[in-house]
Amino acid sequence: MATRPYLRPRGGSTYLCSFPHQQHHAIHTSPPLSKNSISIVHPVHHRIRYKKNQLQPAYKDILNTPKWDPRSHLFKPQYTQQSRVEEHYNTTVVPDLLLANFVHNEAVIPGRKRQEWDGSSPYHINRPRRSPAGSAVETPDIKPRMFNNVPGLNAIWVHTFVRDAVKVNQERTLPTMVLMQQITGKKPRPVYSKSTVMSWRLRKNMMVGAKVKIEGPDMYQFFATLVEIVLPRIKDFKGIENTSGDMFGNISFGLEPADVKLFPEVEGNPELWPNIAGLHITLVTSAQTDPEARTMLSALGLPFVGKERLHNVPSFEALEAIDRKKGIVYSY
Amino acid sequence: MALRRVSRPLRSRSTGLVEQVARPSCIYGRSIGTATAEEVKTETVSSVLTTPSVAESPALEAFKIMSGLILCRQPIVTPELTPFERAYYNYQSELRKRLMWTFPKWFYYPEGTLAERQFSAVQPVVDGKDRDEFEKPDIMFNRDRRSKQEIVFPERDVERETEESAKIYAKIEPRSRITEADQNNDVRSLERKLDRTLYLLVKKDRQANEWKFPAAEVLNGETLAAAAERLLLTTGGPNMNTWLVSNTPAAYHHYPYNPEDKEPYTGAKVFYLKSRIFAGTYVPQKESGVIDYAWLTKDEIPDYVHKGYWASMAAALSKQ
Repeated sequence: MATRPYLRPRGGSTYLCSFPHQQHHAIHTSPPLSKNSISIVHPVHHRIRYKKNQLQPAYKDILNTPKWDPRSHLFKPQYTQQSRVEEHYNTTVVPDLLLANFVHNEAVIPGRKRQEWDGSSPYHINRPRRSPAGSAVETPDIKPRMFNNVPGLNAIWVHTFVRDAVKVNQERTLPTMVLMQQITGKKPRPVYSKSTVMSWRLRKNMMVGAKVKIEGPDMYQFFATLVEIVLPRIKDFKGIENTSGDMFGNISFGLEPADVKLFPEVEGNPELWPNIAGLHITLVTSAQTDPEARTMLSALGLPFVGKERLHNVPSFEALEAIDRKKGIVYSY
Repeated sequence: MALRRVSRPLRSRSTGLVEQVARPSCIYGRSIGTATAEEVKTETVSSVLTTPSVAESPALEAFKIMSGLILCRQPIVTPELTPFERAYYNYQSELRKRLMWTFPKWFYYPEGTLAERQFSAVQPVVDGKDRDEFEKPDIMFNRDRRSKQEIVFPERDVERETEESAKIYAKIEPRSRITEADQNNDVRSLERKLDRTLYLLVKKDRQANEWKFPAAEVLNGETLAAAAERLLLTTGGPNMNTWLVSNTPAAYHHYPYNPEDKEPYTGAKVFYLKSRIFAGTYVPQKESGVIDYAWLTKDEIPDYVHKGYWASMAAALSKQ
């Protein structure tokens, strides 16, 4: 019986076909039922349109210049003046925090991690590990307080939800975005709704607010304005609640529309801002626990009130238990 | 009088700062601030006695435990910029102005208003002629986009000004960074060297090592922090608003006593706690042994103190 001719092209592309050695040994004599060669390479549809002309040698220097380099066209000069708050943090707050947070002979305090199955059932093989005890998600370890992890202010998130954007018109968000740009010095980006709630007349993907993340000198400038000009003039303001915090060193609080009017940029031209929304402010710190973050922020001038909440802070008993495992026993 | 060298077994037995004295198992893991003086003393005795070379010497008893105080005043103004920093900030600032958006006049001065007319009247004419001729001017909204925008604000109407607005717009004149105390070199004043951290040093009536950070013996059953507080009250008076930063010592210094002095101790171990002064002044009290005091920056202290003492203290002091 004559075998069908071997149709594989010599171009080197991958095809499914009866292989040459099979042809020679003639193990399978029946002809293939379908086409004897098909491509298993997925067709490529380029979804990103490359601007190939930018890859020409003339643009090489521009593309290779990093953003921080003043020669880059993307360079944004930020450090235009000495930052008073940052100087205070570096010269005064850091040495004090290093000393105040110091714990003698401190070891890593492990966070809540996912738990292994005990293997009593064959179904445990390849099953995802159990969620951590007492928590839905894993929590980070608490590392010894050293010179290189002194708590600091990393970033500030300013977020707002505009009620009128849902009730009246989505474009009601835009003046608020301009306002945020005024007081933070950075352009905010819109926030869209994630789901539809018919009773609120909220549809998915409606523009309902805005948020902006500020870092570096802008952040210290905003923080100083907040702490020295805005917060002290809020009626009945006593301080940020000690209950605020996400357990991992990030402190949040809100400003009412009346409080936002106290920003100097708004106060100077009140007639320009007829509709003002409140702001949610989150102070992102590098502290490992909330109390350490509060200590750092109060050293920068932010007052706190209320009962101290000690979540995620290892108790003396917990530290003692760690030492006991290492063979160190306390006697009183 | 030269300092006597401490024999080796006493010095380098352990690694940590606190461990040198307070390593016993009974207070292990507790901060030194909570360890009572009695515990520390007894343990020091036992650890000394176990060291054979030291135990042979009949004069050795134990070290006196002392609590010292690094009382500091934090910088009040920002540090003076170096010429390089000034040039850097100037360059960045000018570049930022160059890259800035054009001032949105239409937003702050809506068209057709009196304010807009007053604002426009004082703006400089922008025609791009101040630049090289071969460059084409890029003028948009009264700005040459090749350079930064100069904005002039109209003068305020003096007749309509109220007392409050006058207060707001009054020109702020900063006070001099160099104070009277700086000019007179008054080291006892807290208002000198405003951009530096100042530390309190006290002078005692003795032959050598007269200038030191204040220190006092820790009495029986007293914590380091309590001893430091008592020290401040008895030598500096009650007119100070201070805050103890931490119970953890920031520095440690030890020295032997001269055998001719016939002290009951071999020497002294001083643990320095850090404290900050916010208000008030240090007034040396009578019969406290303090005959003089000075508020000094880190750079000035080496001129006052012994070399070995400075080596123990330097790392705990702030450069700025």
